[in-house]
Amino acid sequence: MSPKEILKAMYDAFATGNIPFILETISEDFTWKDPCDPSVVPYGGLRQGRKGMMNFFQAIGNSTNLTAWEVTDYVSEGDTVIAEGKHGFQSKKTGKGALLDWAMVWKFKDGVPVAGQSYYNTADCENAFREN
Amino acid sequence: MKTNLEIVQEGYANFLQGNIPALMDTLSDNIEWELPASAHVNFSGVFKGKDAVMNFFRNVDNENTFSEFAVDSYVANGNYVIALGHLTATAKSTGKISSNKWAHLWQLEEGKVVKHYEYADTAEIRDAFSN
Repeated sequence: MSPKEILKAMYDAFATGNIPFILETISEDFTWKDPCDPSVVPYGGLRQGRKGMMNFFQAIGNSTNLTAWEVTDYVSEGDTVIAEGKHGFQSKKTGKGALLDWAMVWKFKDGVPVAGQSYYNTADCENAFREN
Repeated sequence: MKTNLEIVQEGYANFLQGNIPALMDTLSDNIEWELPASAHVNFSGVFKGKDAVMNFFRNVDNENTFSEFAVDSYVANGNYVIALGHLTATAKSTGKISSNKWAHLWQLEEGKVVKHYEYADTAEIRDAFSN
């Protein structure tokens, strides 16, 4: 499978809650960067390895209810695939929601995802987790 | 004929030289340009048409002093070019310095840019422009 096809399979797995598939697909030393401040957004900041990613998905599940999820486009070139989409959620702590456009940049090596980074409207995201 | 990637690369080169008119020439009359809106940030929001985008650049220039602006990589495929980069700027109104890693989406049709969307760390921008 091409990097783009692998990534599509991973997003399909995410949409159905099949997190183990994602953890088995990424490399053991995979790194993920989320641009939000981890002191505000429980899943923000840097994660490393499969265990780190497991914690990332647990942090999302523990802190938010998913209200919308969509992957709209894939743009790929060589070992890089960029996915774009929408993420809607409600903070369990504050009850406030956000609908965010995102881009996620995935780096592959020898057909295996080794790193990822997301880009999105961090101000709107952090607002949803703030009480006032 | 230039590729979409070349058009976007030249756009950044023109921006870095301060040649905004040359950058404007690459845009469609129907350009839709967006940096998600933040309070106190006049260069944020949706800008439709070339006049509005020109105002965006005026406000960027009026409100920021860039100490660093660089494109780190490009990914191009079909009608899309995505540029990944970083910048450091001082907000003139507050004197605060902020750094930002960004992804810019460029969508082109028939050699003209029809959509530009900035995935940016908007929390950093908001903080830089808040007292």
